[in-house]
Amino acid sequence: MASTSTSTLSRKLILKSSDGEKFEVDENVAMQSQTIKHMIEDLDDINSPIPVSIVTGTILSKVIEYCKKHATEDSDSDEQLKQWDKEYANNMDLNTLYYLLLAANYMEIKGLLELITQCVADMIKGKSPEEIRAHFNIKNDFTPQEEANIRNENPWAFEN
Amino acid sequence: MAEHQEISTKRLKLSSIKDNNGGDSDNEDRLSSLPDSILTDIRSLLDIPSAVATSVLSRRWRYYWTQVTHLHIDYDDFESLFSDDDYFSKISTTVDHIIRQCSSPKINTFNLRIEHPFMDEEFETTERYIVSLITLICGRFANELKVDVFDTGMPRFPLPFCVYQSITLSKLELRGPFVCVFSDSLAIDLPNLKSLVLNSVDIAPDLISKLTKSCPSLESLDLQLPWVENADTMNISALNLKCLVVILKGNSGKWKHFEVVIDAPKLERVSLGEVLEEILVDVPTLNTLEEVN
Repeated sequence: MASTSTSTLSRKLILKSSDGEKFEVDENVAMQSQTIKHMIEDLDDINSPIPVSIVTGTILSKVIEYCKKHATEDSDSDEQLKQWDKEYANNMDLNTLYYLLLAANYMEIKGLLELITQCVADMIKGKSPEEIRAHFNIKNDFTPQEEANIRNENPWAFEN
Repeated sequence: MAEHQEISTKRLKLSSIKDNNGGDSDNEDRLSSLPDSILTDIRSLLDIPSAVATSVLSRRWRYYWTQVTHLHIDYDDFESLFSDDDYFSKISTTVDHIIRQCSSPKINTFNLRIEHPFMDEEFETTERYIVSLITLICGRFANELKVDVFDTGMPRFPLPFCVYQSITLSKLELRGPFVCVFSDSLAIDLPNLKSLVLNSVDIAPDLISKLTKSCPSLESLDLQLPWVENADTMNISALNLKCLVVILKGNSGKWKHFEVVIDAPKLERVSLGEVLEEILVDVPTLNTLEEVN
């Protein structure tokens, strides 16, 4: 309830994705992106759409979903917010995660970047190199001899 | 002319491959094409064995792990070496080898959890080893240093002086058989230290007074102190201190005449252990504080 009353006070901004989709968001939602924050400071007319040039509409809508949730954080406890973050990340397929990483990096949204980075790191942890290659489609471009040499540099890392 | 045709058929082949895979993006390796900064962040979140294991994925990944800036080394991660008789020296050599391979000039976070061997004759080697690691890390502009030595009756040994002069350090957490000793002539230089945890570390109360006075940024202090001979008064004087935990360990009779004086105008939370509640604690502002147990 509280969030609807505060949102009417907040200014609206229009974000424009790389494929031309426009999103109207509250200023406090958009300001979670350091990049947008800096863009607004340099902007004369805040009513004109702000281009988010490398992010598509599909990804931008997911970024905004995250920012909205985190703009009204006082309505949720830390615990609830963490749970929400976890479900948010778990619902993304691998491709979406990559694009979200790029978007969070470009838009400088620290929380989102940390969340997705952790999510990808968790996918790597405890897996054998073969499993990691299969999961992420990484092509092994070493010769068997080269691979054996690398394993020999740090043999303990490969003994599971 | 014939040559020309050949090139165009090659092109055709390439584009048809792209069509097959391009549409089905599941077959692309997007992870490897992420910017270096993101990949380094991902690797920094991995435990050391997982990070090192990425070196064998592909050429692109070959030396990535060496750029990590967060090093979390837990001796339990080297389980595969435990079966060896001299596992401690094997692990130590391995850890040295890892740190030598790390090419980043700055190690942000260094987190070491180590259990020394149960053989008495190894004590000195363990001591020398821990001291050399701490010295090495302090020289790499660490922000956070956490060393946890599982104490199995190992003789106590002095913390290297470089710890008191690590100007980049903002968080220091020590647990284990360390002794803090320094003379009056040693200039303590910890301008950025915000959080200090000393657990089971031997430190004379007057040195705590000196230490807290020399850390202008200190906001959180957590002391779990074993009894030291001739302890009488501890002055905790810290301008920016917000959170304080003091727990005195061992026989409460020994601490009977011990006195704690706290001068910290910004203090918000205090937690004092059982022993301290029975002895004299002088906190001018304690009335306004929330006491947390």
